[in-house]
Amino acid sequence: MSVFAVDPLLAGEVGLEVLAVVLFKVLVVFVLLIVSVMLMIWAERKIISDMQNRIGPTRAGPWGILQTLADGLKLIFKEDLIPDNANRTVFKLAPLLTLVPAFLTFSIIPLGGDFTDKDGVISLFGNDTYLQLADPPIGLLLFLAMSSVAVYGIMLAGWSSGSKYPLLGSVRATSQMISYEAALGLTVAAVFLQSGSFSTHTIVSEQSVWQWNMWFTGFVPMAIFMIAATAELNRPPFDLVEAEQELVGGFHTEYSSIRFALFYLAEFMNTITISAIVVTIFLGGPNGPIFIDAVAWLWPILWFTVKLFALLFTFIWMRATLPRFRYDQLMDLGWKVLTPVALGWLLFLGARDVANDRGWNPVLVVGVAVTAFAVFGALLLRAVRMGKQVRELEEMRG
Amino acid sequence: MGYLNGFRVTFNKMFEDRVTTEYPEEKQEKPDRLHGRHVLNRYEDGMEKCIGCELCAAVCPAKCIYVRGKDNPPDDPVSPGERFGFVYEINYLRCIHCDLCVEACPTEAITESKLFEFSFSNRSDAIYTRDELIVDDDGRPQQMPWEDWRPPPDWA
Amino acid sequence: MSHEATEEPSGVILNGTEIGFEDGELLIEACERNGVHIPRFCHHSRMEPVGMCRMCLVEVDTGRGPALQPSCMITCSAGMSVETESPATKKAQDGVLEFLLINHPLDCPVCDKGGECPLQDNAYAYGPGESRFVEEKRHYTKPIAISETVFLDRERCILCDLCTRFASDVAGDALIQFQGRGAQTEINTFPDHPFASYFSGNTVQICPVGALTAKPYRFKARPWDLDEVESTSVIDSVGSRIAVQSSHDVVLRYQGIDADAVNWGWLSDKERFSFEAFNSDERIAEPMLRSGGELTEATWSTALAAAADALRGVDPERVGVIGGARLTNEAQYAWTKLFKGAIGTDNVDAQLGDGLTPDLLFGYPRATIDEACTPGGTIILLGPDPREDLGALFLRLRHAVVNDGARLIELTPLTTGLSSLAAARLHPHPGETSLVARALVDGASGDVAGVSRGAIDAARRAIEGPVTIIAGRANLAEHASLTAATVAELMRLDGARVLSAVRRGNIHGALDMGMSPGWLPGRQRLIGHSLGSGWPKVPTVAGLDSAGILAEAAAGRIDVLVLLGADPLADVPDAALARKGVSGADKIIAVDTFVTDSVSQADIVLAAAGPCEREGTFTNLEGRISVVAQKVNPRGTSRSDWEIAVELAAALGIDLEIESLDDIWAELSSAVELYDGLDLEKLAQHQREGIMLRPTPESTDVFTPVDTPRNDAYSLRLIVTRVMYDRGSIVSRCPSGATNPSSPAVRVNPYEFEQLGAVDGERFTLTSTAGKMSAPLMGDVSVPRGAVAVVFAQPELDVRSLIDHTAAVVDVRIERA
Repeated sequence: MSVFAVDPLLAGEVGLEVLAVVLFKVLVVFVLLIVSVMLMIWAERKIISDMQNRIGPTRAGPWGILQTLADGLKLIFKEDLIPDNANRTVFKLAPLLTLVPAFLTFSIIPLGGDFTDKDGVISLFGNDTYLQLADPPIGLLLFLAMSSVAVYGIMLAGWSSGSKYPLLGSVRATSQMISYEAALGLTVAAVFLQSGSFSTHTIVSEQSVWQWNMWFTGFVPMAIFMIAATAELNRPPFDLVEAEQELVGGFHTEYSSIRFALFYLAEFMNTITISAIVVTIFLGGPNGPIFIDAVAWLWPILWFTVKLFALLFTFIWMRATLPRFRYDQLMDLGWKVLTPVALGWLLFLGARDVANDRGWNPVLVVGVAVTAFAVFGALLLRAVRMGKQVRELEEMRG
Repeated sequence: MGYLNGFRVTFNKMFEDRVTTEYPEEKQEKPDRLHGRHVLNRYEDGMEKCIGCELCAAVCPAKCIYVRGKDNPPDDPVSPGERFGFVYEINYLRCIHCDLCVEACPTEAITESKLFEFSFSNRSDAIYTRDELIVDDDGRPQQMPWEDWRPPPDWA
Repeated sequence: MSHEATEEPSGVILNGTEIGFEDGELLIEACERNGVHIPRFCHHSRMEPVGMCRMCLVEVDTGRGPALQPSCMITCSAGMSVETESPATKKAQDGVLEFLLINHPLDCPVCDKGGECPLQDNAYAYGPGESRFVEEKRHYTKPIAISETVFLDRERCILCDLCTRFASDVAGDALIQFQGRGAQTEINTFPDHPFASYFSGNTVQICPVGALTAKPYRFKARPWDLDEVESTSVIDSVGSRIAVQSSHDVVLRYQGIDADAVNWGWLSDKERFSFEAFNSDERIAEPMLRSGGELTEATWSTALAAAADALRGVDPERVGVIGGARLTNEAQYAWTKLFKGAIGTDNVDAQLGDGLTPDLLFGYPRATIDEACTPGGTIILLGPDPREDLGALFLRLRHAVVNDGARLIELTPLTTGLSSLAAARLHPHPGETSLVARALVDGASGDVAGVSRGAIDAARRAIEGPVTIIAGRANLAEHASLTAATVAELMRLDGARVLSAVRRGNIHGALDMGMSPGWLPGRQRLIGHSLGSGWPKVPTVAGLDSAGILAEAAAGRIDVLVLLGADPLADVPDAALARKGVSGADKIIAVDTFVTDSVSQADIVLAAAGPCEREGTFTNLEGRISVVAQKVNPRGTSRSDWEIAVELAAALGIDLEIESLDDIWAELSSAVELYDGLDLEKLAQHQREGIMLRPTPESTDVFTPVDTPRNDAYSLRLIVTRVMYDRGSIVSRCPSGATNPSSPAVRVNPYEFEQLGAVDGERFTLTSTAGKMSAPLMGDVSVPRGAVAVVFAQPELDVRSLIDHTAAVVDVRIERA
């Protein structure tokens, strides 16, 4: 496998037919994403209500499936307000800044394709192509970049509203997201270490059938990624950004009608996207056993969907179960727990790889690693406690 | 770990019975003293109980009752005694269903039934007049065209 | 002041603190003045105390130990110690209320008094929370109608004696009394004698429970529904202070307010229930124009344009304005400014030939009601009968004569409501009153005009102290100059003053505002007025009075006749004159509230707002100004009269420079000496007692009396008097005005009755130089010999066809029909 993995579609001449196929894929992915968002919202409402002993939406469409559509339509018909003090251009731009990165990130996700022998290539209208929209060599970096751009969306939304609660909300959101990006990046580095490539196609094909990164990197990066991702998405338990009890509506207080709908949509789109990323980098993507050869092309898609759903269920489950983090607890978690652990684990993985290369004694390596963890962990804990004491003394003094 | 016990609880809840009542196909029992729509009562012999004394209007905190009394026509008395409620209107856009009027009434003429499904779509429907509030000859409240009494009619 | 020792208090010790008291003050009132309220039922500040209800029991110690005494019966004395909060007092109050509530029915929800009931309030504040009476209460048939306007509920009566005291002591009609004894005592009227008093409405107001209720208010609303404003009654010229109470933009009740200078909280029934007329459906709600012979509704713009068209370019001499007594002072000023100042006609007369000239009213020193009622003074009543025309004044005069030792000398053609109290009753032959007046002043040498010398001497002896002459038109068949002559004679008495008894509404305000030929606002003459440049066209020659206007109209020399709330066809005593005048006028513009006989002849009708529908001021017969307040919205699109004047002026292209009532008062206070320093704010501050206008300098005009012709043996001289309930435009539209009996019969002295050989009720024809009339005849001992008495404006009887306004008196022949 080449490091510079490139879609076979774009290998030769890029003519009209190629363009048509690409456009077709764009359309399909776009529609798919929108529909999945709708279904995801519906699933979230239904599952949460199941967990809370109630029914959830039942009236709009069979089992309430069209509830999201109904809500969207209602929002479209609402009055579109722009506050007097708002910066109009930025106000209108901000929802898009949150929405577009979600789309862009989804473009690098491999949705299917047989990776056991065919290298994930399928034939679409006679053209060979990957079952993903794009496969840039910098795939995962694109993901990290886009998640940073999403922060801009939220920051600018709050600032441009011209009102203090949105500003406060967005400032908190920004610092939250930035804090957890460190941990996120470090876990992605662990994956990179393991898979050797940023390209998602390569990562997936490296995890062929059962060789998932999840157990090859140890479970820790995946756990950290899940937690950090929850914080990035502003989902409960890290959702004080939009907590009505504290900040009215947070950064989207002044948004109404379609703009609010866009934020709402963007949040869920991001959820699906990040779940898809987790599936891709940790759970092997569309990899899985193929049982019926006749519909061989269907099984990877099915596996992808099953894994995606499992992760979405996990996110929903966390929402239903966990109480909200307080802001300082959140910051503590991000900086003082996740980032050191992620860093430590990365170093450990690096050490393991070097040890494998150089043939060092694994037990020794592990022993040293554990000792190092213990020492530095203890030092970190002491530093945290000392810091807390100093702070309390200062507070008592005045 | 203790942290993860919560996840077990929520997961198990998915398989328990739901407590939601699917209104309006299913309805719950109304409490005994539910404050609903008012009715003007009659005695057993058909005479109206309301004597037009305006005490309910005086005590109403929302000022939603308008009463005017009148002399009973001697040949066709409406209520036993000198006086009956000639004009009696309740404006349900203002009524807060506090039932102070029911407490104030000296003859138990005005009481509240348990009817609460009486949404109207214009202001004039919202003002219930005496003819609309008075119970019919069987002692049952009258149903206005815009009221939605889905079965069973448990107006009592 | 020095005292020998500080142990001798000079005041009353009330709950431990010493308070001062006035001489003869009742204890209950002294305590009230000092902020201690003693509950009571039967006490009324204007009536003698009786101590019937025992609610005011307090512990009083006058030196022999504390004892429970009714504080309304005890006059304060120095050193008296009063405890109003002691346990004995509390127990007494509790017990009295428990007793009162024993037989009191549980009627509060259906009782009109509920919500404003002293029994409820005192029971709540001072009474027991529960009753120990479990037996059957006493029952009476209830309610019974004791008159057309008053219902009596005997079960509710707490036997406080207020209505009986009022009826017998204040009003003089002892028609309601205690009957039975002990536990069966009840208040009732006498069999076949309904409570047909002109003042029965006052008993309804003073009854502390709902035993007496008024039919016009029965079940209409509850006290908490009512919103009230203090105002002045405009029905007669006394200007009684009233509270106008309304609910949902309808006036529901008038209550009398105690104004010390005018009425003492009393109202006549006609005043009290007059609001019924203004609530009726007969009100003119829109302006009307005559089209195709019928009056049809029109818009204000078309009606005003039509009125302006009628007035534009008309010679001022050919314009006549009759009426103005139904208007407020400000409206009168506006109309006078329009007609006298801008159009330039002096043919403006607010009286309809049934009053007295302004010369008389302004030329003599005037008395206030208080001065007329001076204890120990003398009142010479020339007429009319105050009980029929000016109810509140009658009650004041009666009180003065009965309680304060004033002496009344009646010099009227017939007996009046005060005759039984008069010190001297002189009923001269109609037309010769001035001769008797001269005899009264100078002394008589024999019988004069049918009055015996002895009577005149007795009357002369009765004259003592300050003399007030109550002057009005006693006999509408007599010319006004005869009354003027009588007044002129009587004014030769030392210190005599005149109290006007001209009866119609705000007539005194109209006269003050110059609505009379030869006069301008502020009692000024046409020449040498101070009104300024807003009055460019004031004529220099005096114009015509209403009789003159109607005569000119009959001759076809009046192009526009303006009727301001006036009904000449009903009120001008000379019927023929009125008829010819109204039909002879080319165009008639009427500004009124009802379609009266005259309004139905009008070409343009402008809708005026009723008394409680516009703001303004009112001048009463003393010359006292008080405020008439607005309480409800005008009916339909009717407007206040001053607004109509301003709009009509604008339609004529004249700017009256008036945009509000304040503008009018600004003009009045700056340009007119009579109103100097007055404005609406000051008047509102003094609303209760009003503000007296300063007296005008006396004039030295001497009145030349008209010679009265001697009557022949075949004629009887006509006496035309008024009663309270007649065909008047307001009274005839009040359902309660139908109560008191009218007198459809012509009355003669029994001597003449026998002479004619008549049988009671037999119809006769009366003939005079003006016309004839047929009516049943009755013998009445109160009619002096040589006279025949007929009541004015009765529905079945129109005596006006006999009256000739140019003649001094009217002689009639009576013949069988």
